[in-house]
Amino acid sequence: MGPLGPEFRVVPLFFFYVFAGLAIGGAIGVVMSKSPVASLLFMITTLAAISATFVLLEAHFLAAVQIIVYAGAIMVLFLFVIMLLNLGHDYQRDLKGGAFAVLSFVVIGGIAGLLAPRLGMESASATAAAGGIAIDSAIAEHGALGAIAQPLYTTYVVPFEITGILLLVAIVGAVALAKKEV
Amino acid sequence: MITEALVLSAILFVIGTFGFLVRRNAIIMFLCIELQLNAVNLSFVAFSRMW
Repeated sequence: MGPLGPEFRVVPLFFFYVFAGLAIGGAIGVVMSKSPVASLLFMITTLAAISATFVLLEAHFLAAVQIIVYAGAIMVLFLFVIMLLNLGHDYQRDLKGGAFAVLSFVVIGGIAGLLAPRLGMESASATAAAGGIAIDSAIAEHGALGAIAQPLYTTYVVPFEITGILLLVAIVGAVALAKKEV
Repeated sequence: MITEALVLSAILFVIGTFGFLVRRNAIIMFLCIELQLNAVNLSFVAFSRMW
């Protein structure tokens, strides 16, 4: 936890548990609620809680981006789309039955079975010091924004540009799909 | 806190997978995919503290 000594680490851990519970409750609300609007509002709760855990993990820029992009733009846009297109009234036959229910339990059991033996194994706190010190020195050298921007525009510039081309393809596809209706 | 973050990420990913497989509404399926993407983001942040 950066500059804090070991005697202060209990308080962030308490807040981490609070926000983790909020995130998990919101996620369960997303899956369980009948109305898409309520589901979307639960999703905004979950995104805000995840952003709070980003702050507790000292990824402050990512937390701000999470709030601005997800909760601020994408989710509000979807809320507008649902309300304008009046999609929130189709409650019947929303659950997939039969094979999908069985498949979901198989998949979830598989993921849990893969993850459960590894939970106690990794001594995360032992290696945590190295990564934390590297991040702290990068933040001290470039600032919280520069610690992300510096590798993004030097070391990882080619994947960054490829991601830009992918977004361009998505924009062109959206325009092509929307133009068919005119 | 890193271990707890990874556990939280796994729980959120599993909830997203469950919702994607069980719900039929396309918007809620999209939201569950977003939940999975955010869980992976959280695990990336946690791993960045680790290595």
